[in-house]
Amino acid sequence: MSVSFLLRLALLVLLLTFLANPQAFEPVFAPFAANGAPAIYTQSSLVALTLSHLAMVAAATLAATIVSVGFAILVTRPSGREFLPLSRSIANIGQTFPPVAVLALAVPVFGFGPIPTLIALFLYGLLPVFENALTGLTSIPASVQEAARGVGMTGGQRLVGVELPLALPIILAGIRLTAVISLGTATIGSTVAARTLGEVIIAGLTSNNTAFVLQGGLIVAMLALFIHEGFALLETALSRRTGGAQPA
Amino acid sequence: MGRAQTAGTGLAVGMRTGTYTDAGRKRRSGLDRLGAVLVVIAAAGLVFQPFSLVRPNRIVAAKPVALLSALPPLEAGLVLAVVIAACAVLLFRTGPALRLGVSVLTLAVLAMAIGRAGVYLTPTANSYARVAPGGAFWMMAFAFSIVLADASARLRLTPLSRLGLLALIAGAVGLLLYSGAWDSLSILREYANRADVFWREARVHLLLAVGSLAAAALVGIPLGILCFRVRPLRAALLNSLNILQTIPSMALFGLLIAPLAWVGAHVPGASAIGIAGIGVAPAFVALFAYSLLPMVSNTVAGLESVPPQARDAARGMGMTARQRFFEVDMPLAFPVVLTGIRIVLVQNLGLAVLAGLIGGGGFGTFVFQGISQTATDLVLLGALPTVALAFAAAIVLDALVEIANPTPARSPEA
Amino acid sequence: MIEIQGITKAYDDVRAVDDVSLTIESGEIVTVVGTSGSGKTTLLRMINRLVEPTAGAILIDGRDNRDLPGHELRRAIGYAIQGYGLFPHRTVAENIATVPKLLGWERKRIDARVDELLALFHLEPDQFRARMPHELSGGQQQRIGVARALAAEPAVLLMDEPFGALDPIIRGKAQDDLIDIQRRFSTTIVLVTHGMEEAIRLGDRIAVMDKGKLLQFATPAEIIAHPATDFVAELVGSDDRAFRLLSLAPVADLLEPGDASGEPIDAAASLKDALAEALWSGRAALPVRRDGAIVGRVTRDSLIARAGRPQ
Repeated sequence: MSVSFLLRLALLVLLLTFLANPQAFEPVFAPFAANGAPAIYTQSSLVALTLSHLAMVAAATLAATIVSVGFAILVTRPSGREFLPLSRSIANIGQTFPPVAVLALAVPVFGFGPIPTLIALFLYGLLPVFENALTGLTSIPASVQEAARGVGMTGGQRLVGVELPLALPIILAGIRLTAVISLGTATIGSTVAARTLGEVIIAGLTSNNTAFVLQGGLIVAMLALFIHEGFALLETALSRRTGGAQPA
Repeated sequence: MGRAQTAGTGLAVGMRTGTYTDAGRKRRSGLDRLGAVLVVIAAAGLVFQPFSLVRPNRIVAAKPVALLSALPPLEAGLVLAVVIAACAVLLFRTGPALRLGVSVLTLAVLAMAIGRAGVYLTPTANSYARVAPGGAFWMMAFAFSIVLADASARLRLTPLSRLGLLALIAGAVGLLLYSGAWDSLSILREYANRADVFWREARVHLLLAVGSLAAAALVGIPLGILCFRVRPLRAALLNSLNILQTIPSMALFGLLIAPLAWVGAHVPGASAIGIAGIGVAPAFVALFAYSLLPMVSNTVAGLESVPPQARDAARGMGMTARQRFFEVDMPLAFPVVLTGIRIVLVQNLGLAVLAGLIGGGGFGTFVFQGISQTATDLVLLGALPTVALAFAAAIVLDALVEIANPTPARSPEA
Repeated sequence: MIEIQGITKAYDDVRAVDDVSLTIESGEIVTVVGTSGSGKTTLLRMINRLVEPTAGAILIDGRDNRDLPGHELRRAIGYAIQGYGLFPHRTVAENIATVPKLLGWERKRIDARVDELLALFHLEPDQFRARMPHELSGGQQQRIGVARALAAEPAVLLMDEPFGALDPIIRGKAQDDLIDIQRRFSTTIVLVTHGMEEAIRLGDRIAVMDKGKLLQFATPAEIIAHPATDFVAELVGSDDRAFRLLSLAPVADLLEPGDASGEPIDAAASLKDALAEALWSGRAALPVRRDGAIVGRVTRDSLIARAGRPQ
């Protein structure tokens, strides 16, 4: 029960209270609202926007995780090894694509609404997970792999019993990175009419109301913080068990 | 002596003298699996997708045109022949140098063909008609770009030759643009309508991305050195910068509007140097803020990566603290710091698009205008240069990082 | 019995193992010794087919080792390696239980076997069962590695430099433990090492390899006395081969009736230790003790005579 833990708990309670009853915080945001404009965003319920935002991020992250871990497994098998150099360079190239550009390029193909945002989040989320899954699956100590073969495990048994469990903390770090990036990037989705907390920020930007920008930004930042912390806890617990290095 | 025997119960016992085919041996001929996949993609594009999309004006729906009708018969036949020949090369196991050459050649032919198709399909004296590349073009371009990426990865090009290849491609694209071969394509029509604005926004975009990087380097590297030396400071500073990064970029841009407006109005001389609530200033400050964490943390990581033995040896040889810092610490930490600069530059080039949302200019102006007008070509006019810049920056800085690294740690590829 | 028949492994043009034939009897310890790159590890790995041979065959108890799929073959053969390769995400008990689980043993039988092996390796089961590998010392990890290799009661145990990372004192104990366990289960052991000392100490017979070729396959005494080539002689070391020879046999071998004065020596001690003691204390003979009672003596002259080159 450290101080920082209590601090986080307090933050979480604060966030939940705000979402449940935003009007109670009206005096806090009022100074930021320009001349008499409303201080709290009321066009949609903040809870609904938060849930829809989180659902979008979760769906994109889950899909990205399944696809990229699957692909990383494929290219680290003997039969897929020839695709390894290529997939590495595609991953590198992909990461240079700005998320905004991915979103902008998806709009002409998929139109407005949640789909282009989901696609952009999915595409952008592929790379950190793939990169980390690849690192995890290829950095298993040679003696462990040798032993796994030597005791007579089949390829599938080695994958499920040894390689994936050992790569898990690193894969989780990739998923965490993807989730946190997606959480921020999803706000941009509201420029193409996806229902996310970006709606609040954009409303603030267009009506010159800093109070809106602030509350939208703070909710997303806090969500990102909690997701980051949650994953980090899980990773630390997992790698402490195997005596590995603490994930960054 | 039981186990080994019981495990084999029921199987024929006998001695075989046949030799094994070596499982790890590379097949020297036969189908290339990656090539086959890419050929399928290219072929599917060619068969099921239009090569060009023609719209009588900007608003109405596009009419798909197949490759064979998008060009004069002779040229169409020539392009088709080149693509088929290239596919044949890719389908079989061939050397990476050949594949590199074939992919570059095919991409060049496709690039010229799409321009020619624009001219061919545009009715004369119709300045409203728009011709855009269709699915077939994009899928073939994708397939051959992958071949290009794969072949250069396999060739393990040196940093200099990668830079050379990039310069070659940039030069070719520049030449195509300059010669007017693509002028009939819709995205260039869009460009022609706002050429002067385009270059102004390009300058703003670069100023935002590179300027904020320079500012972040000037502040972040000394901060990183300080963090490395003063341990208690490190956790505090890195944690606060970490939290800063979690604020969504769009919100950070917006949040800076109010304080900067206040500074612009109340600090003497501030508005004279362009500090105001909207425009370039908040975008610049936001990009600077996002750049700080990678700069500081990479400086710390670089200094931490200096082997203690090297530092110890330097002390043992009687170097002063200053000499150790400039002759041992900094040179050894430099590649990691440069990696930080690479991350920041690529990230900033992308994030600068968001400046378009708060009137800060840059390519984002076109992207968000295009989104609000549902004008695909306008979106592309903003997005394509952004992607190209980020991509080129990544290649250039990756090459520099590799050149700067005294011990190249390129992982052996299987 | 393991019959290796004209086995060859070629990588491109290099023959890592070149037409090696040898027969390993059931229940003996064969050490394979050579410099790095001699092909000794490749030879070992062809027995459990971690490496597939280019030519030749290996028969285990008369059965071609290619009759079974590779992974099933390996479940029937123990395998312990340098670095141990313990699964870092599994407890000590789970590590040891790996092969029995793969073979589908019952839970009860597995638990009993794990405890039996832990006790055998002087590790208190209650204390060690639930530990993670990274919580163990190097010597403990090594023992768990061997315990895991022995878990499914294999008839054959392959070991690749299993003691390479241990310090000399712990290594000596680990080697003693291995000999004890081998005597108890009469497991056939093939052990690869780069140290002639270890090869002589553990091996009933020694196979000396160089550049993929088998140079000599004989008992330690034979190798020391009659090295087949200059390379083997160099590996044995000509300076102290007399002492190496003496280290092979116990005092009991030269026991004779009679008296001697001074501190007695144990009948199980090596002849080398006896000679060293005789020289150090300046005695012509040492009393020999077995189970606490003096049973005779060993003389310095007989020790010296024994150290000479066998005819």
